[in-house]
Amino acid sequence: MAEDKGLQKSTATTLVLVVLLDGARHGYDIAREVERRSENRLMFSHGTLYPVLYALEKSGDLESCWEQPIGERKRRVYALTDSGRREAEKAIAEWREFSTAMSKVIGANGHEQPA
Amino acid sequence: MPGPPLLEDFDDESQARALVEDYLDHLAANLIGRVASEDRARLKDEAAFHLERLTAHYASQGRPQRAAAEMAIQQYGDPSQIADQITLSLYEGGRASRLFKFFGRANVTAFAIVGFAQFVYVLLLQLRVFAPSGAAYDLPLDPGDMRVLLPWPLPLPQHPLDFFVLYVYPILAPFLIGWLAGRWIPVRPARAVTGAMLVAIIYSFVVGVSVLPQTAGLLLAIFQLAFWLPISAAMAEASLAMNLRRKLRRSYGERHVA
Repeated sequence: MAEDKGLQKSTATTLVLVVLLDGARHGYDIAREVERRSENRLMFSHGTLYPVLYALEKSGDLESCWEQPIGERKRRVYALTDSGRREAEKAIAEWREFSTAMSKVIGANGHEQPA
Repeated sequence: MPGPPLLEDFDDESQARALVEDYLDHLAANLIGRVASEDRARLKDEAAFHLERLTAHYASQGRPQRAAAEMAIQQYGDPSQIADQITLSLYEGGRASRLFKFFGRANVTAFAIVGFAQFVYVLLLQLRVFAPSGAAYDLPLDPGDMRVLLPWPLPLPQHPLDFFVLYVYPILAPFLIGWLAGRWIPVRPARAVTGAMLVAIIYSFVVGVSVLPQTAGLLLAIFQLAFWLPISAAMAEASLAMNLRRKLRRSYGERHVA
C-alpha cells in the first residue's frame, strides 16, 4: 500500500486494538508492529497514532501507565480493558466480513484473488 | 563580531538532539491553549521517546545521527497536523453523550450557538408580528421619557427599541456567534459554524417563505447566506486565533510571541 499521511481513524482504531490483543505495548512498539505485520505495506505518520490512543483511552477501551526502565527514557504503555477487548473482537469480525464481501465482489468481476 | 552558533557548528549527535528538541517545541507550541498542560507534557514525553527510538532505528541502518533524526521527524509527521488531531481526539473523545458521538462535539456546540441566535431572532420577529401595538417593547423609559431626561439629540432619535432588535441584532449576531464558536471549539470552528449555519439558512428560507411575505422570507435567507455565514465563519477562526495567541502570551511571555 502506498504511504499515507495518516491512517483513516476507523482503520487506525482497528489496527491499534488488534495489535494490543497480544499484550501491552508503547506507542512506538504499536507503530512498528503494524508495519511489521503488514510487511511495510501500511506505512503512516507515527504521530497520528497518538490521537487514536488518546481517544480510545478516553472512551475506556484502553488504559495506560508510565514505565521507566533504569537508565532509559520513560514511556507510556497501553493495554486493552475488557471493553477494549470486546471492541477488538467486534472490529476483527466486521473486517473479516467486509473483506469476504469485497473479495466476492472482486472475484465476480473475473479478477483472481491473491493466494 | 561572531554571530550566534549555527546548527552545523555542533557535532552530529548534538545536531540530531537539537532537531528533535526543536520539533518537540513546535508540537507543544501547537497545543498551547488547546489542551491541558498535563496532556501537553504527556504528549511531549511520548513523542520524545518515540523519536528517540525512531532515530536509533534509522541510525542502526548506518545513517549519521542527524540524518536519522531528520528521517524520524519526517516519519513522525507534521506537528501542526498532529496537534490538530490530538486536540480533536481529546475534545471529541469519550462516551459522554451519544449525540456528541454521532454528530461530533464541535458540530453540536456550533449548532447550539447558531440555533440560539436564530431562536432569539425568530422570537423577536414573532413579537414584532404579533404585538404590532408596540406593547411588547414598553420599557420603564420609552424614547419620550428618555428625551426628557437626556434632552440633547439621542442617537437614532426617530427609532424606537424595535429598530434595535430587528435591525441591529441581525448585524451583531454573526460576530457574537463566531466569537463564541472560536472560544468553545478548539479545532476548525469555521467548519462547524458553516455546517450549523447552512441548517439555519434552510430553516429561515423554508419558514420565512411559508410564514412571511415571500420576498421577506427570501431576503432573510439571502441575508444570512451572504452576511451571517461568512462573518460568523471568519469571526470563529479569528476568535480562536486570538484566544490561542492570548494563551500563548500567557505561557511564553509577551516578548517571545512574534
